[in-house]
Amino acid sequence: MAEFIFNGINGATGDYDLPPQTPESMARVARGIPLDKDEQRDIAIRRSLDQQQTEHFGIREGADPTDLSQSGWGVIFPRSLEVKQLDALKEALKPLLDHRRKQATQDNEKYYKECSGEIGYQSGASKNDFLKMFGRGPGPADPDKLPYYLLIVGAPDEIPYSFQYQLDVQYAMGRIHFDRLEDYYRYAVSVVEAEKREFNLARQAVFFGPANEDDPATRLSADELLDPLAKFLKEDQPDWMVETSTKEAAYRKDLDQLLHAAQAPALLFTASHGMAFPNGDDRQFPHQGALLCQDWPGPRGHRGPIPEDYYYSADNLGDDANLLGMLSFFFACYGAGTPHMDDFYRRAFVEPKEIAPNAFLSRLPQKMLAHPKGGALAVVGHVERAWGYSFLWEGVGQDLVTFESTLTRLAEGHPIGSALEFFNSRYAELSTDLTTEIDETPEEHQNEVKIAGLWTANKDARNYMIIGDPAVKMMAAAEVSPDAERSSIIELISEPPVSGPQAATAPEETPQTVPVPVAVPTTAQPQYVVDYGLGDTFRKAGTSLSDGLQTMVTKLSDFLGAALEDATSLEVATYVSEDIANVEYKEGRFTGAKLRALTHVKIDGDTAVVVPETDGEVDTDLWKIHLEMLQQAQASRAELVKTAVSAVTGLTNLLKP
Amino acid sequence: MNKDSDPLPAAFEPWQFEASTSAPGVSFGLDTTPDEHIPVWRKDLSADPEVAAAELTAGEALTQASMEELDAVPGRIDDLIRYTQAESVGGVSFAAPSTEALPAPEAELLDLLGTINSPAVGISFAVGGEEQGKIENAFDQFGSDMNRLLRLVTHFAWVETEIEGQLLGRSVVSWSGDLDTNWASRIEAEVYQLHQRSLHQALATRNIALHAVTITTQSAVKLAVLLAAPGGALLALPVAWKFVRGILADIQKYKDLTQAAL
Repeated sequence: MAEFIFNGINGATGDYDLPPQTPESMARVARGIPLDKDEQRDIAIRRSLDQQQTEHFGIREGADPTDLSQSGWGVIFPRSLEVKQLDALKEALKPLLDHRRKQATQDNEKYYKECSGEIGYQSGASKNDFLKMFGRGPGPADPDKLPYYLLIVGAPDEIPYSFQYQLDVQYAMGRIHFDRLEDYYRYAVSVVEAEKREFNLARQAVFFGPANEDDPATRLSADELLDPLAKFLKEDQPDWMVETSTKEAAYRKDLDQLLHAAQAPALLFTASHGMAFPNGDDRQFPHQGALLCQDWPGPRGHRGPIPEDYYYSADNLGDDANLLGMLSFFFACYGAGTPHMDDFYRRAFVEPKEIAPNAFLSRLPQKMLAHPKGGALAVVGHVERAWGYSFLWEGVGQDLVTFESTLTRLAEGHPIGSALEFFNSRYAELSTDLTTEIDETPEEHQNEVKIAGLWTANKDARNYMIIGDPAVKMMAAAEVSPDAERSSIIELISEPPVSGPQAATAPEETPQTVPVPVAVPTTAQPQYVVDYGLGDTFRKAGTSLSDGLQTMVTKLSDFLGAALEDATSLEVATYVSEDIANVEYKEGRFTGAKLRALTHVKIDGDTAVVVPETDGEVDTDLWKIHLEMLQQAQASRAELVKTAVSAVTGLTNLLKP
Repeated sequence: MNKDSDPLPAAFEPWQFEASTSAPGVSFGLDTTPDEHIPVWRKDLSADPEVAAAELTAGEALTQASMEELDAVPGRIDDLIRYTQAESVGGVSFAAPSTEALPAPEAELLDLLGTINSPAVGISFAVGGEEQGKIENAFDQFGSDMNRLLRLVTHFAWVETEIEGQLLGRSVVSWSGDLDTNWASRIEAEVYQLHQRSLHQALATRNIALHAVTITTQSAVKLAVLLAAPGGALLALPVAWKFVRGILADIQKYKDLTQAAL
């Protein structure tokens, strides 16, 4: 008799998360879960479009999903957030929101949307309830009404997975949720800086996965998913370095090495069991979805609770990992997240069952995205249990076209949300097939195995989820970005918001020691000076008090906004003079004093340095002082920009009607 | 100090706003306007290194305390709003007796909000009187202080360190942190450090100024719920600033008291 095997291991018992199921029990589940009408209608539309248009990607005809100015970008917050919580989140995400706004609104202001407050997600709302607020019903995304790329900011118990699944049928969805505001900021800066600077990793893809002893699931995933997928990518993208790290090369230490290597692969694809723990277990929140490695000797080789040494969890990801720019795909149970209730169990065994105290995202991808040395751009994973049906099909065997097409799209520069449309398309197709099989085939002619397979594959395809911004793309190129670029981005992430200067090195280590003309551009001109004239404003006849304040606040907000955009370089100059009291400061420099050292750092990391010399030797004492002044200037800039960003946000809120 | 006679809170005390024509060694050529006021941070330190270091340490402590107190403002405003709403029955009350148990900044804030909400006064400047004067003073102070704080933040600043009147280092810092420093030749390493510390403090207070503006705007948004007048958040700005200012002033009072006890 055929058995259905899940990619999940119960860490508390060491057994499979669910015992292997018979087709009969699976079919019972399938029949018990009819799709609701909205879901059916959406799937029918999606299916119809998929059949008509080979290039259909969930977006309306003619719109290019690789171009945000045509497809749009939006963000969805829970409506239940208090104003201050929302403001704090938006402030932390500001680099990303500003960046996407700029990209999406090149031709049309409507193509960027922040769904918050009254148009945020209201608890209990369905996908269609939500779309109704924007004048939309089921059907392909129309960026005039609601952008195609939508980032959910919130935990799955605030904005449920079901909402995301439903919307994902036609829209490109991603989700982020972190416990700390600084993690939102880290992720936002990682994405924005990687994109703005075109921070490119090597075109390297690694396929990682164990084949544990006596364990059919991982044997299949290694042989029938990882190896052939790696082979496909090698042939499809000949300029990529494709490596497999499977079986004996898939121990925990091997994965750790990959994540901590000097250069992260642009793509890390893993297939393994994901750890599962009983509801409320101490390890459930921190370790659910962690990746079980080759260290596990299999169901016969090890009895009892699974020790942490066997799997890779967020706890193992050190602060020295190199993840910036990476995209990952975790094929594992709970690799992306865990729902509150176990739908499968409820349908199969009637009794409702909680999987966890509440729905949550898995820690490993969360930590990867918010890593202090630069986050991964996105992690694709599975909510709930992952199944072999994703890559094996009854009577066909290995079937990887969905995965292959996704990889091709990613390598060709599609945003990840668009690349994953193949999974949505598969979900729509399977849903239609399942409905047809159940509704239109007389029960006596129904095939238990077929129904069970359709249902399994259907849920499996539906439950892939992007953790991260769905608009991120693969950052890989023939020319790899230098380490200095990474360092510069890390500096931005580890420090408060700063507009780019990177630390200069000591003179003997400075690779770009180039003379800079003494007549440097005058950066200290009082170009930002504005007269707020508040006292006068209040007394001006005919000007209302409110108008006066409004004017002041607007001026200040505009000034700070412009000044922040202008802060694209940092210059530190060191002069020495015999008669300091009589030296004047004119047109941005001291006249009558000797310029001894100068450092000019641009936002793109270019650094020009003039090093002080005495008798042909570097004046190390003066250089040390200069470097200290540079560090002080950088720290001060960082603080000031951070405060300015906060000020602009506050002022903007003040001006809101 | 310029024509605005009311001094800024103690953290900003070393800043002077000097006319460009009187600031030594400053010339802005064509950009100079007759009423240009340059923020100048000048520290004249003792020749005794220990005394000089102690002077700087005291200033740094004040800067640190100011930042911490500013960070506490949103929480204090929240507490105050909760307190006010709990005190009131069927609406917001600013009755004087309830403010007696409150710290001075909170009490003054409620008093001012109550005045603004008073139907007899409102926000009109047409009528004189004591109540009207209270509001007018708050708005004048807000205007004057904000002009100076924002000039401090948005203008480039001049930082000088002297030891008993002898100039040792001078830095010009733009808004965005560009830094030009002129050092007197042949000075000791300790002296460099004195200027660096003074510069650090100057820059920190500039950041505090901007932070104070931010906290004030955030507080105004919160306080708007207590204002019956239209345009609440904007009108609450001067009130919020008075509160923030009061808290910053309290730091100096506390410092004075502690020093007196010693």
